Amino acid sequence: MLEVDVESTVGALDLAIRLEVPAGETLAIVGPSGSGKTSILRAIAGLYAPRLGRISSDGEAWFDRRGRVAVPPELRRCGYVFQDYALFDQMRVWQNVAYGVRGRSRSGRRRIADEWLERLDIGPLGSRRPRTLSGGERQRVALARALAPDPTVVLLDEPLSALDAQTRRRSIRELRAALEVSGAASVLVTHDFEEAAVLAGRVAVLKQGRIVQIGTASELAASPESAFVADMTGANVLTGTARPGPSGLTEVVLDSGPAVLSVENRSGRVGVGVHPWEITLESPGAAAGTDSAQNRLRVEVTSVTVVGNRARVGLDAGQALIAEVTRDSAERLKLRPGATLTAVWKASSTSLVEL
Amino acid sequence: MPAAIGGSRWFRAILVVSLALALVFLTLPVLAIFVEASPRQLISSLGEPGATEALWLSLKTSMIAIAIIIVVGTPAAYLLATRRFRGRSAVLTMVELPLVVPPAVAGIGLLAALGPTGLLGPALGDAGVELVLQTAGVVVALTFVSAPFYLRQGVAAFETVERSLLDASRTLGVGEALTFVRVAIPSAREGLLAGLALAWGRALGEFGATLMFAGSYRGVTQTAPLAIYERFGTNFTSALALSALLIGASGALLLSVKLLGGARGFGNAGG
Repeated sequence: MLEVDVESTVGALDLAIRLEVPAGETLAIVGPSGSGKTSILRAIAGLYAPRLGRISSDGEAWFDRRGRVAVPPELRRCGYVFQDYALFDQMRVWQNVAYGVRGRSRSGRRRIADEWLERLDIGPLGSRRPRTLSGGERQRVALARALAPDPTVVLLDEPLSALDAQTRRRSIRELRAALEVSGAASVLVTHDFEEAAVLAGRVAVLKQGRIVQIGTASELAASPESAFVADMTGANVLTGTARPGPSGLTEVVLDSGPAVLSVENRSGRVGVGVHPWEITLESPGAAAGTDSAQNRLRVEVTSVTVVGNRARVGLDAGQALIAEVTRDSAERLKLRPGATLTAVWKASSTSLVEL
Repeated sequence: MPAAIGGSRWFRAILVVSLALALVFLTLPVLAIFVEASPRQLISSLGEPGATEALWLSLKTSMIAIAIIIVVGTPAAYLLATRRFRGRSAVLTMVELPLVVPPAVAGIGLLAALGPTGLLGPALGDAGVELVLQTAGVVVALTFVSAPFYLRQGVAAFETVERSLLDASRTLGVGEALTFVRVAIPSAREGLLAGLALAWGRALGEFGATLMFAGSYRGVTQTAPLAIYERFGTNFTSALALSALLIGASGALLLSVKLLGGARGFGNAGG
């Protein structure tokens, strides 16, 4: 269990953070740039001393301003995946991975490094130099290096942001699996809610150095406590099982029962992404469209939050779903909690992420 | 350089002519020495008493100076590059000061500081250390004038090392001192070697400060440049031959330092 309760000033930002992450779980901190995300990770790793507070891992104090405890980073041994990956170019890939492994012979360290590279599917790259690798390969080397010393806490700073869209999708599943296997308490920071939703069990939304809301991704999306959280959450993520559907489309049977279609090809367990502004709402009496590539779900309105000229509508479709409509159409549809509607969006607006 | 569309011919001509002028002007004197000194003269000058001695003294004293500069200068440059503290820019300026001090003034300064009647003279005398008119004095003079070249380049080199590399090493269980050795120095290697080449070149060519502080005694303080100057007054051919030898020796040293830095180091040496 990682416990953090710190206050500090970073530049013009007042940071005040309280969070707890049990072993084996991943917490994602989502916030815009400049909200203090990286400072939190640096404080946990011991690369930065907060002004006040306490940080402990499995009951052992790493930092305690009052008790005058400040364990240096080399003794905390947090697995840290840096945003730029920070690979040592003068070393080979396996030497990077073995860098933090202690108490073994050279061949023993090589074996551990090779095992990690194998596990992350980059076994043959051990003797290469990091600068000759692709972005996705570098990210996996950085992950292997962070996990190889068997850390109790793993910190990830925008682990996917340097990757192209396709590599990103592939990496998500591997990253989840690797973090699960490690059994560490993991903290991940990102500006991308969708990334947080698929990688972490719980998501904390950070605004100007403070966590404004914390919960599962669907809790945050369904009932944001503020317009800021609503804006931050971005895409909806539903879960289900994908299989080939009609006319070359993929059909996803949602965990809540109904099925939706996507133009993307995936199979097995998937996350279904759809942006709130892609969803239109129809009253029950409206004539159903004839377009077979449309997804239609029966939903119940759970909340209506007006943000400027838009209305964010919390929906219950068995799973939480958010739609964003203009304030005018919200008024026309007489949206209020408890109302039953049909949510409609295109198969081509439906992204799939393998879980 | 691939020519962009519409690139003007006259501008390209200016660039080419400028480089050609610089190249001719900068290499002509060096070439002239080899043209004027015949191979036979080179060989016979090697046999001259004092010539090989002076060359050997130059190599020995410059290597000792460089060793001192590396051992003290590398951690000093690391501190200046990685820590922000009050008066940092003043410290940077002070360690770079010898770059702009004329060598003769440096010699006077060394005498005033370390000479028998200088600031630290009595203390050094009590400790049995004599520098003036001694080989050790040559090393002091060389160190003084060439260290700033290494320090400057070293600070710049360490500043380009990504902070996250050092942080990564720490989070992987390696302390600050070992991180310096295992990550910072290898990452800054190219810049450090470029600084080393500059400092060594400066040390081999040192003349004024050595003459003022250590004098020009054959076999004791007369380095190759001083020996060349001595011959210049009496025997130009001999001065020419020794100059050619010095160029050959420094060229070989600089080349080996650059080769250590690898082919990539060559391109970035200016950094």
